[in-house]
Amino acid sequence: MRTAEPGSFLPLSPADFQLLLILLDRPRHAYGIAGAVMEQERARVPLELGSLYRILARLDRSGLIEVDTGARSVSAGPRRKIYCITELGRSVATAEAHRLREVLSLAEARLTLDPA
Amino acid sequence: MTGPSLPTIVRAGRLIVSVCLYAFPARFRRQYGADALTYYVDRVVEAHGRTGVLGVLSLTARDAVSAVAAGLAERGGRGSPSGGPFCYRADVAHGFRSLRRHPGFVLAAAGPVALGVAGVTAVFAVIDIVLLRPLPYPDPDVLVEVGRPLDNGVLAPISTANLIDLEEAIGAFTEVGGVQGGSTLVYDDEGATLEQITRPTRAFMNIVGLDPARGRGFNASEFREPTVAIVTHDLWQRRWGGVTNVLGATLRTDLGDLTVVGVLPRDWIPPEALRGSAGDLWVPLDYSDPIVQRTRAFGFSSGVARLADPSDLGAANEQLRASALALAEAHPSANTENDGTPRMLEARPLHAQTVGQIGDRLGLIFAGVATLLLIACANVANMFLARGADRRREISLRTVLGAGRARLVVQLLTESVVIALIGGTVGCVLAFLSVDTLAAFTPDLPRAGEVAVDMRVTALAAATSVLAGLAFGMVPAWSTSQVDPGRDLTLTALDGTSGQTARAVLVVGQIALTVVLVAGGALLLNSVVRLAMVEVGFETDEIYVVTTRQSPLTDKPASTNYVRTMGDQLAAIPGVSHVSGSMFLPGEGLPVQLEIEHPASGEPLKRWRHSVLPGFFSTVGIPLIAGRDFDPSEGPDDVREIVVSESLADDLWPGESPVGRTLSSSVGQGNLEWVVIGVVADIRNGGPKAEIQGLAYHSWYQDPWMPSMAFLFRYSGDAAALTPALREAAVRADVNVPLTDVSALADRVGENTVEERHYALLLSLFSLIALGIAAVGVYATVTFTVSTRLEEVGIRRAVGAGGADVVALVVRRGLLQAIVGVGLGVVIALLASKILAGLLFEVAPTDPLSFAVVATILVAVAVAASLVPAMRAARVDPLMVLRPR
Repeated sequence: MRTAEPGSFLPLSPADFQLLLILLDRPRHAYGIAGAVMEQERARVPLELGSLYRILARLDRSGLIEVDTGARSVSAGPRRKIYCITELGRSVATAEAHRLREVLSLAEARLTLDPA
Repeated sequence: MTGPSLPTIVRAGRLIVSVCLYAFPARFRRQYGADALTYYVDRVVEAHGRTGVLGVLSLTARDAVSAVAAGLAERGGRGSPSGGPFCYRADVAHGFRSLRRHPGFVLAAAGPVALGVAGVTAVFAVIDIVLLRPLPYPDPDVLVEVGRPLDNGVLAPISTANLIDLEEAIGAFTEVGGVQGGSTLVYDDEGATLEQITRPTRAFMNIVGLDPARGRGFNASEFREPTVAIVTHDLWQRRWGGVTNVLGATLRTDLGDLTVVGVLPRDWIPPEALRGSAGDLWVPLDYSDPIVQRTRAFGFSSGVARLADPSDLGAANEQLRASALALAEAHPSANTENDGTPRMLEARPLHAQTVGQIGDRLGLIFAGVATLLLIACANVANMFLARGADRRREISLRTVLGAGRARLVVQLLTESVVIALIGGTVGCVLAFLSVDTLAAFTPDLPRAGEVAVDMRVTALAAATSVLAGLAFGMVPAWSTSQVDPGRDLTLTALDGTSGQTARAVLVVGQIALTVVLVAGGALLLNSVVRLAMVEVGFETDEIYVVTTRQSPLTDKPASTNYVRTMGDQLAAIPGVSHVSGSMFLPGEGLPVQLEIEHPASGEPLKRWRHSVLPGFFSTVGIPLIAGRDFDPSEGPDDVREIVVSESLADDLWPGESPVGRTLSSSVGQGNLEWVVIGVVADIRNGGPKAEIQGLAYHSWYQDPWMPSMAFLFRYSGDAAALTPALREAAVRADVNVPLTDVSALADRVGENTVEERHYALLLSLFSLIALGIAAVGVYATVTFTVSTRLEEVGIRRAVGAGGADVVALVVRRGLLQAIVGVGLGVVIALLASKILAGLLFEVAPTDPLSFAVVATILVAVAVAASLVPAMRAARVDPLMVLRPR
């Protein structure tokens, strides 16, 4: 397990952050992740294969998610990998949320000061 | 239209995506490849359920492009996977916008792709039906054709009597049957028309699973002195206009009055192997007809059977061999070959018999169109490379503004896929429009009526386009996205070095492939020219053929009388001269041999016999060398006269004059004495490809035994006025003898070489298109190179180089590419030309002259394509070019 500082991963790209959030509820396979993304975005076009797997691979390499070798959902079938968020991933997502909140409050403050 | 099944779609799509996954590094593929494919399949099922095949195609295209783009980016190890996962639509929109600003570019790039895709799709549609689909009969795997194997590999028809005997010997077969072909006149108040008839055995309709769409099939009792008929859908429409009460209608025929009891289904297609025996009027085979037994020596019937065990063709053939030996023992005169051995029987799978030799020919055309598509794709890649070099500043700017490399690759790849899809869509439409013509004009194409561009074929076209777009978009996308903003944004002149090697390789490849096509076209054209130059020994210009068919029930005096009357009627048509006729046309071969005794050795010989009307030789321009022509007034009761061809005369009486000598022969009727009355020059009676054979001509009036007669005459008037005049003449001669064919003798003889001409035409067409694309390719690269070297040209001009030096400098580049391409192409063509061997006449597949011509043409085209930009460069004003410095 990596001992990296969550802050060193920030800022996360919106896609990476969205994927971590989706995995917070429960582990999912790729098709499940795509479904959740589509639901959140109200998108009609599912995540393209190349984009999704580059994000998954990158998060996996950084230790933010991992392939759950134990879990195997009933509907998953034999060859679907189940991806789940790691403790580090959880901390990074939390850190990113804090960072975003700061960004947001900063923005709000400025927007209030300078409404033009 | 039948759509492909979901498993088929999934398999095809998986294949495409798994190929595209190779863009990722191996480690990545090992870790995520299988999971990514499962992810694809999950969504295919969903997309298929939602929007059908189109949705699947769209999903596959998107995943293929994104896999390649992300894979390349992963290898490059930088950038995020595009600016976000949902920018694909933006990329497509950007691609369309950017292409819409350059319609000329789109046309030049997509046009050749459209032609290539159209060719591949149309040919695949034909291959799909002809070679890949099972025959449209129940359990097609157990169907075999039964026939008599000939030395040339053909399975010839067998006699009806033998077929009936085989019906009883089942064993290795579950059922044996067949059809006898023939024709009959059908009479009504306006005269007679000729109909081809099919005489099925009792088991035949069951063997091929045929049930009438209306009415009923034949009862077992109707196979004796039949009085019933079943008509095809086509005949029903033609004769009765499709009225519902056709059942019970009566047809007056040479076979007697027949009552229609059934109509065949509209879409039923007879097995191609029985093509010669498939007519529109089906009448039960008459098992009690004494002619059946009398004609045991003649192959009038095509046999079809169902194997008891489809895997055991050997046992079936073993049994047929035993049957053949038994038949030869029971009826030796009818079942023995010329050399005294028994006539054999053999069963071969019906599908293989149907496909025949056409597989090789279709393979040839497919190779041609696939090569054309490759050339077109190389052209697209080349154009994108040149355009990419033009867009370096735009790309650099976008890089500076934050576009990742993956995003750029996707963007550029999208443009080439869009071009490929435009080309593919237009190509598919072209294929849809042209496939019927292709099927109709391909000589001897089995199952031509079934050929269509359906979903399966369209899916192939779409997949081909996407793959072509990806494969050939990769090089320019990768090369173009490799920018160095620091340099590209500051340099004033264009940098011509980027992608230059790739462009040169593409042009060399294009030229090499073009050489292969042009060489094929040149060899076939050379062959066709040689065929056209063959002297057949008779004339065809302004000679016409009109064939009439009398009832076989007509007696000999009436038949003779008709032929004389019809001859007179023809002669009375204005513009007609030299009326004569023959049972079989010169140049079309002959079916009947005359058994004669060699006058010196007494040894029996067989020579082809040609039954002609007096005046035949002068009508078709065969020179009479000695003696005289036949006398029109001599009939069966006069001394039998014969005219021999020069080579037969040399054969029988070497060095002597044959006129006045006698020949004895045994024809069906017994021994006959013939007096030789003349000698004529030799002709190639089997057409230009055939050898000269000795021929024995006799007068039809002395042996008027066949109901069909091909009248030949010379006519120099208006061809359009001829047919109505002929119809009137035929009606005046006898309203109950229909005209069955009117054609020019040149066309009939030309049918001998239709295959050679067809493939020569196709390959020449491919060659011309390929030459055009290659010329554009060379022109584009040389033009681009010149535009990047303008400064160099300016400096050279400034230090005293002349216009000619500049032209030479530029042309040298085009010439170099051409020479390397031609060299490579000639090597490939020499290896590939063997597949043409069967179509070549007196031309070797390695014919040095053809190859020399091809090399010269290609080099000349390349030089010509380089000359235009070279001349432009020579006119460059050094001051104008160097001033910005």
